[in-house]
Amino acid sequence: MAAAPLVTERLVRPKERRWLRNVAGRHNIGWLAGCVVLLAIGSIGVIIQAVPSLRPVYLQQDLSHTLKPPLSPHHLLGTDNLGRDLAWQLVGGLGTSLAIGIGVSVLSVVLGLVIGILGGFFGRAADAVANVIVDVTWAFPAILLAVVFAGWIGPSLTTVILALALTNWAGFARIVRGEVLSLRERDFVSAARMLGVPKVIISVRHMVVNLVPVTIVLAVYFVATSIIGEAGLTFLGLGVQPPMPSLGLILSTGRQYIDITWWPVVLPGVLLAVLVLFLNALGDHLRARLDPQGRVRR
Amino acid sequence: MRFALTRLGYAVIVIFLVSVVTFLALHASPGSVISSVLNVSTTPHSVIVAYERSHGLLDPLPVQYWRFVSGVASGNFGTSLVSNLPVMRIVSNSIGYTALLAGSAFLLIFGLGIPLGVLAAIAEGSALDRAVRTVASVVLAVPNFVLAMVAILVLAVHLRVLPAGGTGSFSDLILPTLVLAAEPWSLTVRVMRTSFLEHMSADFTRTLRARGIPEWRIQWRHVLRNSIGPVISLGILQVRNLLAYTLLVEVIFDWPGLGTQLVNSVLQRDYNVTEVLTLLLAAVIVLASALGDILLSLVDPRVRVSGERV
Amino acid sequence: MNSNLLPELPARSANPGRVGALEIAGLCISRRERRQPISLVTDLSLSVADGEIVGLVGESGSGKSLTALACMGLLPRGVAITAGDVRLGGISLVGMERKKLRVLRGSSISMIFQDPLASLDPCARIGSQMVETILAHKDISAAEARKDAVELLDRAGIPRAAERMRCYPHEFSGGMRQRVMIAAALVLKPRVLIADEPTTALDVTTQAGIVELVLELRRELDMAVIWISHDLGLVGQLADRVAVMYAGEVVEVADVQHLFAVPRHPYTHGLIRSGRRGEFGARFGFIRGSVAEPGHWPGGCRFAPRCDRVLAGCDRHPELALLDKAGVRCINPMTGGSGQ
Repeated sequence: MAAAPLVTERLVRPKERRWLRNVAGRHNIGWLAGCVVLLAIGSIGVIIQAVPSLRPVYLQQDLSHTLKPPLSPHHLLGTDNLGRDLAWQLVGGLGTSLAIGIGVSVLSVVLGLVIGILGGFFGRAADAVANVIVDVTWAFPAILLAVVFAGWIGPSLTTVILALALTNWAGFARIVRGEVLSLRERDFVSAARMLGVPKVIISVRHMVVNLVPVTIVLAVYFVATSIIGEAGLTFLGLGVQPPMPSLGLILSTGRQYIDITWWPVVLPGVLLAVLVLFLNALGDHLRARLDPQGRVRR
Repeated sequence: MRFALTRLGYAVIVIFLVSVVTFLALHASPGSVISSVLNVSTTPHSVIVAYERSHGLLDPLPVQYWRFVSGVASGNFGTSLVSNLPVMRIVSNSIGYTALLAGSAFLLIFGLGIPLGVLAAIAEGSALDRAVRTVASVVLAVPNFVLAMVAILVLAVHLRVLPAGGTGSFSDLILPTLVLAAEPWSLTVRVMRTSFLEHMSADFTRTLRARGIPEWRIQWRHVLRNSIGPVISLGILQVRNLLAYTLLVEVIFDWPGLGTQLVNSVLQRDYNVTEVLTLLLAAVIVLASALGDILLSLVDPRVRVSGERV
Repeated sequence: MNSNLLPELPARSANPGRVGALEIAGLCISRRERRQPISLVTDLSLSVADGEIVGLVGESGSGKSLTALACMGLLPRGVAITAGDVRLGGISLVGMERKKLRVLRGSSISMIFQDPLASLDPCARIGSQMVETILAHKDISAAEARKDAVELLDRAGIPRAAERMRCYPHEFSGGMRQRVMIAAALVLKPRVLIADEPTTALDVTTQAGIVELVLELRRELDMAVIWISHDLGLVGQLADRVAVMYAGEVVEVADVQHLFAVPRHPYTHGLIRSGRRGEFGARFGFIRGSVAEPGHWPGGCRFAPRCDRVLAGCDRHPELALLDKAGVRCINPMTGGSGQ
């Protein structure tokens, strides 16, 4: 049994290192910088929500200064219908979006990996069950899922996270399953199984490791779709509720007052568009580096 | 034929499971149903229990589920908890609007998407090609509800060209349809263009040219037929997305279709309506997916069925 | 409909069979690159007479397919004829208006390709493909066109031709598909047929059938044929003359018997030997080294790096001296038997 880890070890290592080197290369400075900026602003957004003494920065209502346009005194980007500073609302909203986006992405990815590997690697029965679960989930697009969850536990942050996570994982699970089906025919898997290594360990040590590149690419895309999803669901009233800041809420206010204001619509809109463009471009770039064979299908 | 039957059979099973999930989520805690009618904190406990019993909410879940399913199957969708109208009436009132919106968008997506994609491919590199591709990229980059808001802002509020809501006249349909169709149209144009270009340099196209057949005929008769496959596949995938977008767009534009009904029902805790509409929409998606797979297996004379869905 | 666009071609009967049905003179084809164009075919001259089959032989990358496409005016994007002429019955095709060229294609000069499955529209029935070709050139009724199509399918050896008009390409076997291709290419009785490796994808027995078909049709229609192949043995069975291409140029042209009896260019010699089997079934006589990429051809003789007979003077580019339609591009050609 001591021989087993050694054999499989050598067969897997080369592939592991290759993608790591790809990601940390010199050409990626621009992307890394962008991510750092994004995460920095997002963190600020989360911090101002988490630390009670900082909350007034975006919560402070000023009913004598409602719906002020950008470049007003004290309010660089204007105020909303309750006099709250829009700039800080946007920062807070960005923090919410990123936190939810990353959280949902991680959840979807984990779920997708588990179900995908179960389906592809653990026999026909597991595969059938996994497929049925995926298909049932497939019947519920994000909005329907959000509706169902909102009906169950009421509109909230949790609703959004659950709804979005369950929307994403099905497609990812299918891709994982496809990959696992081809991976399991590979030599190192056969070798490991012949040597009696339990399937669970093979899954974690070898399959997951080889799935990392595809996973990273899709995780980035998921963050983008989740951000849009959260904003959309909150906009409809099914998601995050005030006083938690959200880009969707600002948009929804903007819609209410669309006759007289443009900034609650345009500002979060621009922010969202830029965010999504950046993340999609990052995903494309990573895909070119990590998945040249095109196993990811958008 | 056997494939069609198996596929439909499987779809039925999925719909059944979907109904279970929907039911459990919305019925599982009787408290959720009750709170839409009675104010739980102020009503005496005995009244609550009496209400529960009279509405069959204390019966075991499988019994309640059976009541739900047999009701739906026989066309009795129950009554709205908020408006006391039969849910069936609510559905029939709204379904026309949704169908109109979705149908118009569908027409726009394929009626405008396919020809533009082909033209962009034929005129590759030209101003038309670049314009089409730029518009498609921009649309795909911006989330559709943001696009909707900006469209309303510019066209309805500032330029006063198109109305922003309501259903009075034909012009009310324009903006929602455009917004709804925007993203799927962009994808369709892209896929059509790429597929067409690929086939324009295919071997069989070369043979047709070698036989002296006019270029326009090669393009519109041969290449088009060969390259439209991926567009159809994409279209089938898009049904699900289109449905979801329709719901969203309806809410934004106050379009009285199934979408606004659904969202309002959840926000008002009108669960009878919510569960029926949810089941209905999910069932449509499952059936559309099944029909799409069946259609795909019929279309290609080479019967190249991979059975894959993304 | 299109008859007034058809340029006046000298009638075949006026030709004693000595003047080329297709004449390629000094053809140069280049690919446009960022810095400077890369020559793919250099100064190629070849002529084919009515009723003659000329085999064009060479490795992949030697430029044979490009030459064929150039004759048809079907060069891919980025590749163009930069010098020389191609004359069909005396009419120059290079620089001809595209509309007129299209009219000639399929009716006066036709081409068949290597992979019939990929080369036929998979979504169109073969009958309609043939009728379409006919109607694109002749002003007759659809019914008459269908009759012509059936006739030629029948002639090409497709059993139950009338029924099979309604079939799709994938419903035929490989050999039958190629016959369909041939039928479609010859339905308008062109003067010249270019066949680009039509049997490479087929098994040997089917191959023989196609070869026979082409020979028969050549006789019936008095057609000039260029048969492109990398299989010298096959070409030896059906061609009257053979032209050997290497690195974008013709290195030897000769009557088929002479070529096989006394191959003069070292490359030809090597090709023939590579095709032979030894006593124990072993192949011998490979030509060492491999052909260079276009753009990296040596300035002198392009075969010199791989040649056993290289001399000092081989660093100057040898000319192809044609004598009586035969010639060799070498300053040190071989003589005598193929043992050398």
